[in-house]
Amino acid sequence: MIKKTLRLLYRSFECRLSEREQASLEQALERSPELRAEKERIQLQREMLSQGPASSFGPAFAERVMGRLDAAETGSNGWELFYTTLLMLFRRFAIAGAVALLLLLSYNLRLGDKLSSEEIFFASDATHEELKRLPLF
Amino acid sequence: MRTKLDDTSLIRKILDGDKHAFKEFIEKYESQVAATVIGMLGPGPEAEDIGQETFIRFYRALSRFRGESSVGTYVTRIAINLCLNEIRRRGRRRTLYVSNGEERLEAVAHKPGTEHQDESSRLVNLGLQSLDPKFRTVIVLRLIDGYTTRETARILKLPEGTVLSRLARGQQKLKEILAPLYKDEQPISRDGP
Repeated sequence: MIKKTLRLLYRSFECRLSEREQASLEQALERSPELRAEKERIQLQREMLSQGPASSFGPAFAERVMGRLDAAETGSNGWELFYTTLLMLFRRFAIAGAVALLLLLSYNLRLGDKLSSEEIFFASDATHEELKRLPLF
Repeated sequence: MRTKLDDTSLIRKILDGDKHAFKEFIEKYESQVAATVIGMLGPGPEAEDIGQETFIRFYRALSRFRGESSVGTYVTRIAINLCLNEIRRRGRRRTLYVSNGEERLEAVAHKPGTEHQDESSRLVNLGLQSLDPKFRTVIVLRLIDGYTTRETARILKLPEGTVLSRLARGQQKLKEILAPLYKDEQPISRDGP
């Protein structure tokens, strides 16, 4: 079977062919029993497909979707509550920490005679041994 | 008893938070989504899972729905995208599309969930599941869901010419895949006497 004619045959199921194409296809169909059989096969296959595979997910599908949606919403609400609580809790610690750090920095700044990050953080010449001697350790 | 609402009223009610309206919407579009998803993935729990996910995604995206296409087309687009993702995920997990046609059919024929379907439906599923997804998608949308070639092209964001050629090639390939089964006359009653 000529590829071009076969392509024309498939196209004839989808769109209107031009008069010339239609005439050429009809001629080919008249001449070739093989092409006629192919046309029947295509028709049969298209019918089978249009009847399609199963078109249902089984009984109570809508209820299952609603259940899943409700569960997802409850779940997301639960997580939301957890994160909000966590955020509120840590916000207090974070604010307290930031205030303490600011106080420390201002204190160090007042003690030191120059404005550098080392002075501010009290880490100018401190060695490991000196740090160990500090009451903090 | 509630009267059936049209899509616009249903959407409005769903947006107002009416869960019954959403349930009605699911019942209205279940068969359409099922035909698309089962056509793409074959029957089974994975298909139902994707079906459920389709409606949940639709529900969550509804506020963004502009009405440029029909609701049915919008839902189908979600379903098709989820199916293609699932096929890609499956592809990474295991290769179903092996080179040998017989092996492909065997793989699908022994999938759970295909035993109790009627013959023609089984035959369609066998063929479809063995097709490359790019051909399967156009066949499902055009020949099973009944969208026009233009609508199919719009859903898949492809030129109409591409849809037409994939449709022709897909049908040819489907015929080749199903040929051994047609020849046997009792193609899929392999487990029968």
